[in-house]
Amino acid sequence: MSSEIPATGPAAVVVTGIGAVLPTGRGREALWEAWHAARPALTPYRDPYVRTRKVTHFGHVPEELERLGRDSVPHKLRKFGTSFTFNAMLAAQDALREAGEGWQGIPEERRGLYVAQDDSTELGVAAFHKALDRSRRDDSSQVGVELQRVVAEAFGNAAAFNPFTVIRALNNNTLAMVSIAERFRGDCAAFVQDAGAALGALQRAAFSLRNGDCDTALVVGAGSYNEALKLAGLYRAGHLSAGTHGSDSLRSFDAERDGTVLGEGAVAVVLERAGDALARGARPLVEVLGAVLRPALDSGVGPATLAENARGLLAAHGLRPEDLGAVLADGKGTLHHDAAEAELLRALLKDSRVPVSSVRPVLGTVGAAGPLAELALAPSLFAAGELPPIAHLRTPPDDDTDFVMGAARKRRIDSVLSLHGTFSGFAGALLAKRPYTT
Amino acid sequence: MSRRVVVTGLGAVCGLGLDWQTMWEGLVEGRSAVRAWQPPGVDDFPVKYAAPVDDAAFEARYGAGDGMDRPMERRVRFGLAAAAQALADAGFAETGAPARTGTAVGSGVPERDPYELLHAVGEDGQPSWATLYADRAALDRASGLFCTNDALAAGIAARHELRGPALNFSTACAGAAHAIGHGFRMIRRGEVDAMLVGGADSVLNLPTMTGLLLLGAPSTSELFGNRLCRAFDRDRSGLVAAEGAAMLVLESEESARRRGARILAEVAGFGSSLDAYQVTAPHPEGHGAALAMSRALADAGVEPDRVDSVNAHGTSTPLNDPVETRAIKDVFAAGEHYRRLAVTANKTMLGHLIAAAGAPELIATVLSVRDGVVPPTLNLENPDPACDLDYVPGSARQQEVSVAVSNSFGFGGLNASLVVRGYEQ
Repeated sequence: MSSEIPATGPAAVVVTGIGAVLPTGRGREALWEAWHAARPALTPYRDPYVRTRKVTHFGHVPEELERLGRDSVPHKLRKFGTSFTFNAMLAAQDALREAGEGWQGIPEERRGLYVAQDDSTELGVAAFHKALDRSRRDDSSQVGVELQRVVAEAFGNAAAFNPFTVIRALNNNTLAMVSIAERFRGDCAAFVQDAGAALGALQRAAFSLRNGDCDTALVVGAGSYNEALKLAGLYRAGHLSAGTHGSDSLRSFDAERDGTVLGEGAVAVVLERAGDALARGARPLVEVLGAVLRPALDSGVGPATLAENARGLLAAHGLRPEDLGAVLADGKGTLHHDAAEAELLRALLKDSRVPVSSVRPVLGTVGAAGPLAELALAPSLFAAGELPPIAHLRTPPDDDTDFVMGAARKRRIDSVLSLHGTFSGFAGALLAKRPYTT
Repeated sequence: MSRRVVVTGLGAVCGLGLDWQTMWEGLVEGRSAVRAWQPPGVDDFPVKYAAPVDDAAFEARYGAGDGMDRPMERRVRFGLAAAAQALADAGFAETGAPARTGTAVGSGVPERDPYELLHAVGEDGQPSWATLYADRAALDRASGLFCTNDALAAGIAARHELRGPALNFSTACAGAAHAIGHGFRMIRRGEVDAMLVGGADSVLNLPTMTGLLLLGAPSTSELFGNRLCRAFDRDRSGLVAAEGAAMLVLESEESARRRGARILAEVAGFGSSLDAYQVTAPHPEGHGAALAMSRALADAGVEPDRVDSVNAHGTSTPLNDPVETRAIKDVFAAGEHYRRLAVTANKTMLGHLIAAAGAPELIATVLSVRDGVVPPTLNLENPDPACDLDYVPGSARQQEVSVAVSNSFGFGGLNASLVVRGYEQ
């Protein structure tokens, strides 16, 4: 055991189950393999309701996996959900399965559920188009001519809309659906804050476990950036890659980067107090030390302050930056975000020579599921003793940060700090370590 | 570490008024913000009543404020105004905010402009990126906050330089209550010294109201005019939608006393739960609601028989009101204490602010404790036999309120309860 890493005490918060439904496939192993092989899961953008050449690639959850997600949902609940809710429910099932049967002995009232969800995608162009299409079947020539009348017709015609449109649009939809399907009746919260939502959910879940508000906590992150208004807004803001490099277009920290590639997916993790987990025979996979989430660059806070926040998180657990086994950078691939993050890394790591990588070029920017995907990779990092490279990185920033390029870096990894930024002005960090239990 | 948490600042923007003092005055006087309403550009929408914010008055008072002319959703405008009010009310302008001050707000469904949606459909009936993009391109490029669910949390943090944790909760009609409850926990356990907490929402747009209508949530009745919101009444027929925002400054007792701040009341406990029953209906026996209340009381270390008043969720829907009544009777069963509770439904005057609802109702709960007055439940003219508590019908009641509970329950079976008590050193 590394002398810098303290043993996992009975009150420590550990992960005992992980489920993932991502562009890389089902499960954390699929994500690890894709990252390790530098094999991007970013494919040509497809959506029946959006025709565009401006969004070229996207991290779609494979269609067959999406079908599997839908099939995994009890039939009576399907009408209330969307595809990304179904992804979340499949991920939750997988996480609970890995956590073992013992968790089912925990009373329903003591099971906490904390959800991170992306902005709604239901009350958008697709839902409106479907309604409009149905409402004007008898009079199709009027579109765009008498706006007011057409709008009134579309919205006045109740039969044109799915009656559960607003339920599907609610950003707590995942919370409600998972609670019903998996019988969680305890403490709860749901967040919508881009990638920051998962940090908030993890933070509050760990807090509730430590303070006895629940005895197990399921944290679920799910969503999709595939909504026309959202895509248009992010394109307009200059955040999206032009797709010149095809599926290799997300080029974190590279001099040739020109924007991010968005995606979708869901990750779920089961958290427990280590003592409880061991008592019921579960195997701790990762220890969650903590998370921070703060207003960031767009709110006038610079990288130095964010580095200070991350350093504070480390110090709270007796760690210094040089003690870290690896840093997983966000690496969205936009000019602005990566430049700011590179500065943050410089300020945080200085001469520590801690290696920095990012899964983003392989996975894409997946919103609320993002930080949980990084957490899901931690057990593989601990087990493999190597840090995969940042795919496609040829020309890194000219500074002292040790970006891993080309081949995986062999190294014992006991602790991982992942960094996260959002498009809406928040930044945060998540600190996890290898669980040492006796 | 377990610290006491006190309320030191309030802010509100709603149909009853554009500050918390006017809102409270309205609640105590039994004024209703409900009035005839139709969505912009539509004159035959089936929902005929709502409780909107007075746009002209809002513009006159807040429209010229710092950056308020930038494109943003209505809820964000209301939320920013309420936040500025609450922070000023707490005296932060004079004393400065504690260094570790964060933000937690509740928000709901994104506001969609139907014309924006319609513009996205081209002449051939297919969604057209070109027109959609043209609309978005017209926006201020620097307006990164536009139309994301966390825009309010980001906006508050940026404008007021609150550098502590910033969280955006989304638990439907319990959103603000969850934000307040988790903010309370963060102060109590020493993560922060103060939190600006609350919620903002506006569902008074065509797409969202259509969605709610399809669920059968809002009343379409025209029988009662602006007396339509009739919580616990036999003739209730659905919620009456509203818009607005409310914010509170919560602070550790030490921080408030160090600043010499005015302390309005103490937030003493928080409980949350899930029904895990149905997406569109509460548990028929109110298990989840009762669990949230019981947890909040246990968290506060308060025996149920010490509670004087309950600020009910009281939506005026056929399902909620009897279920909430049953849950209250369950929690306060010992010695039939429920018979001595003054239960009030602020929504009969404010309308239902959806994700924000818990925030103005907690303000009312705080002021009930401070002033010793319980606002009335309006329009309770023919009590439902299944709703047989003392709902303070008609007019406010002067009475000592030492401890009060505020309830918020959301679609999908998400419940939150908060306990407030008078502050004593």
